Order: sequence, then structure tokens, then C-alpha cells
Amino acid sequence: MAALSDVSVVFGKKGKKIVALDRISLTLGRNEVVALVGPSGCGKSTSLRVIAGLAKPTAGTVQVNVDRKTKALGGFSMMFQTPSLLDWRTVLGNVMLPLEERDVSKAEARERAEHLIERVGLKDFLHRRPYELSGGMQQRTAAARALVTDPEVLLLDEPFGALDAITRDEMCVVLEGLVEERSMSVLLVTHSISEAIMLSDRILVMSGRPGRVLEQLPVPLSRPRKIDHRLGEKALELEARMLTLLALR
Amino acid sequence: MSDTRAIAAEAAGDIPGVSVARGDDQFPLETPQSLGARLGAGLLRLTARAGITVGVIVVIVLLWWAIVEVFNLPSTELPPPGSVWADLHGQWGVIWAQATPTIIESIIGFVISAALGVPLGYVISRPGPFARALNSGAVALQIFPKIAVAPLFLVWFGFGYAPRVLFIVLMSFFPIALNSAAGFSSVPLDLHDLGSIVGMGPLSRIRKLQGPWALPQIFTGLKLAASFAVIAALVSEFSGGTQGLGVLIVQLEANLDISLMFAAILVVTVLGFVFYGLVSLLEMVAIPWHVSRRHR
Repeated sequence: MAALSDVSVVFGKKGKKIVALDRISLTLGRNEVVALVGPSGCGKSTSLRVIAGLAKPTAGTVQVNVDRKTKALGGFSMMFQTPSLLDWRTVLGNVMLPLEERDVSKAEARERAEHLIERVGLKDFLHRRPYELSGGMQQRTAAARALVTDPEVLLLDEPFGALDAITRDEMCVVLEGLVEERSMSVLLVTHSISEAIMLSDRILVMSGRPGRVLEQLPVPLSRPRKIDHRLGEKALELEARMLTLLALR
Repeated sequence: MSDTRAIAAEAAGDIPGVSVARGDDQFPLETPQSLGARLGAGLLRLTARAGITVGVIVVIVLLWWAIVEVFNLPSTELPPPGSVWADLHGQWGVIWAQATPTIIESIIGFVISAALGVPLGYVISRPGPFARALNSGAVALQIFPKIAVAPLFLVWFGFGYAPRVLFIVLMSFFPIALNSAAGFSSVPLDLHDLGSIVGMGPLSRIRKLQGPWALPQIFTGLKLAASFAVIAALVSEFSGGTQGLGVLIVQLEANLDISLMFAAILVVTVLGFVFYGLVSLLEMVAIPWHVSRRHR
């Protein structure tokens, strides 16, 4: 669905160059969930932004099989580090926002949004504004907004980074369910090893500056996943391998 | 943060596989309000504020009266409140006749300032040399001592509304433009990214993201401008002209009719308050979601 080959991104002008990404190659297959894990500053978010079209590569090629500017359903969606909800809209209004830019009737948009809001457990909060919700509920609203267009590719940029540990685990389970029940390709950028193991089919472990892909690790866990999976032998083995690669042990 | 407000247990009840311990304390939720209800709430808040303002005014009037009594001042230096009040009543016709043009030019000047200032603020907030040049131009126009050339406006534009409205616009567009620019340029990066990912065009972006985001700061500018507009109207009348409260005040001062002059000044002050209050009311209706209006 999307591939980067030898992509470099350099910010700044001459003399003050910052290499955000140094010849990165990765592929995201159809209906595959890939996690990019690495220390902060390794360029994992930049990789995602290049695929999303939010950052331009300085060198290398970006291949995307999905129309980023489609007016139909499908296309790209993204969840950010912060919920990025609009305070001047209700939960329903926030979730409907992406559909306003697509060729979808208002009635259908509302129906889709209400369905997803119910799915993420916020049925009773349809007409609340974001600041009336807890952090976890805000991210669930953001998840509903990201999924309301039935994306073919979902990009997740450390979506739970700003949440507390308990809420993060909870969101992980919610998101795994949502990903499991629809067909889409997901690229997850995270610095959480457990999140990567819980959500993805394949993990790319990146090194620190300059960011390189050190190793690709398949995740040998069945779906749907439960929080218990994380405590199983296979998961612990995988976690140990990742810790070694990240030079944390 | 909002996390400290416990998540309502019912919210997670229908998600399979989630059983996380939760606090059960309830937090009161505001119900979404209709435009009428928002207007009502705004008026109520405004009335409460007006009450405090009236209290302050009463204290000032009492002080004023005490000073006149204690120092036994002649009414040509400082007239007692009672005599000003009597003049306000007795000569209301004279004052109102001169207040009307002041009100009209203030409103026209303010509306033009807003219509120019907000778009100008948007353009200034954009990157690039054109925006910087415009910014410099606006700053230069603000610093330039317009009062010094106000009499020339009469030579250039005659004795009608045009020179006075122009003066008001020059005095009050800047706070609107500056505050709007600050609002437009403070849109978080994530919201810009959201706009791109969702596929918003530039107009959609202004209408749905940048505009609402900048509204609180736009209103800060509008409120400043509302209070400037009345003062600017008065100043433009001082510098020449045939009608308006400014002209009346200058004449009364020359005639040593200080009591009626104070009555006219009182009317100007009330006008300023009303202008400011109207913009505040509009603000309360337009941005009920603003941080300053939560948990109250």
C-alpha cells in the first residue's frame, strides 16, 4: 500500500542541516499492521509524515497506492499524538469533520459518525464538547474520527503518547478491536514496546540518530488479541529481542 | 487536567474486553445550549458584570460629591454631581442631537475596522515577504501620530463623515489586525496536519479550523477597538468639524458651562460602555466553548 525506498529528509538550510531521516526503506502491505519502534529522534514520526504527504523527502522515492486526495470513502487517515479535537464542535461534529470533505450525504455522515461513536463507547457523549471528556475519551473520539472515512491506510503517530499507563492499555485494546474488524493497512509509530506487540503483525526496530531500520520482527500472536497475550512466552521473547536491539539491556 | 475527572463508568461499559478500575465520582456535564439559551446566559453574565460596574460608579460619584463639598469648589472648576445630573435631564435634547453623529460615525468606523482588520490579520499571519511588508505598514500606520494630521483630514475630505470615519478606522483597525494575526498564527501544527489529512482546501481551513481557533483573540481585538472607536470619534471632532459630542464639549468648555460639559462627557463614557458591552455580548454568544467560560 505504501513504501519508502532510500528516503532521506533534511531540514534547515546550509550549515545548520538537521538530518531527520537517513535513507530509510520500509513497506506497508495490504491489510498489514506495521509498527515502527525506536528511540525518540530516530525519525519514525518523519517516516510516517512522509507517507502521509505532510513532509517532503529530500531524496529517495515514496510510493503510495492510495489516493491521498480521494473524495470518496477510503484513502488516508491519521491519528496524532494529541487528540487534536476542535473545542468548538461536539463529539459528533468532530467525528463528522472528515466526511464533510468527502462526497457523502449529511445523513449518511451522521449515521456513520454515530455508529463509530457508539463503537468506541461514547454513545452518551455525542453532544458533549471535547473539554468535557477525559483524556482517554478524547483519544477515542479521535479514533472514531480517523475511522469514519473507512480508510485504506491508517497512520498512527504515537496516538497514546499523552495518556496515562492504564488508559494507554485500555486504548490499545479498543484500537486492536477496531483494526481487527476492518480491512486496512496500519502504520503505527510508537516508543512503547508493548503497544507494538499488542497491535502489529510486524515490527521494525529503528536505531537512534541517524535512524536506520535495525531489524524486522514478525509478531507471532493470534488475533483477536487480549491483554494477556502480552504476558505470554512468545510476547516476552519478542520483547527481550527488542530490548536487546534497542541496546536497553 | 481533565483526566482527573473520573471517566464515567458507563462510557466503557459496552467495550468488550475492557475492565479497568474507575472512580465513580460524577462530574456535572453542561448541556449543549441553543442560541437563545446562550444569549440568555450571556445577558445574565453581562447584567451581573453591569451590577459591579454600577457599584463602582456609585463609589466614584460619592467621592466626586465629597471632594466638591470638602474643598468647596466652584461649579466652573468641578460641578457637583447633582448639577450635572440636572443638566443631563434639562438639556437632553441638546446633548442627544450631538450624540447621534458621534454614535453613527463610531459604529461605521468600528464596522469598517473589523471588516478590514480581521482579513488583514489573516494575511499578516501568513508566511512570506508580502505578509511581513504588510505588517510593517500596519505598524507604521499605528505609530504615526494621526492626531497631528487630523485637522488636515478636514482639508482633504471635507466636513462630512468621511474624515472622522477615516480617523476612527486608523485608530481602531490595528488592535483588531494584531490580535487576529496572533490568533491565526497560533493554530497548533496538529490541527494544520489534520486539515491536510482530511483534505481541506484553504477556505474550508479558514472556516473550520483557523477562524474558530482565532475567534477568542479576534474578540480581544474587537473589544479594544470598540473602546477606541468612541474616543477616536471624539478626538476627530475636537480637531475641527461642525457636529458631534466632541464639538459640543469644546464649545461648552470655552463657554465655561462646565456642568453641561460634564453631562456630555458622561454620555460619551456611557457610549463607550455600551459599545464594549455589545461586543462582549456578541463574544459570549459566538464562543461559548472558550476556556474562560468553563466550569462556571
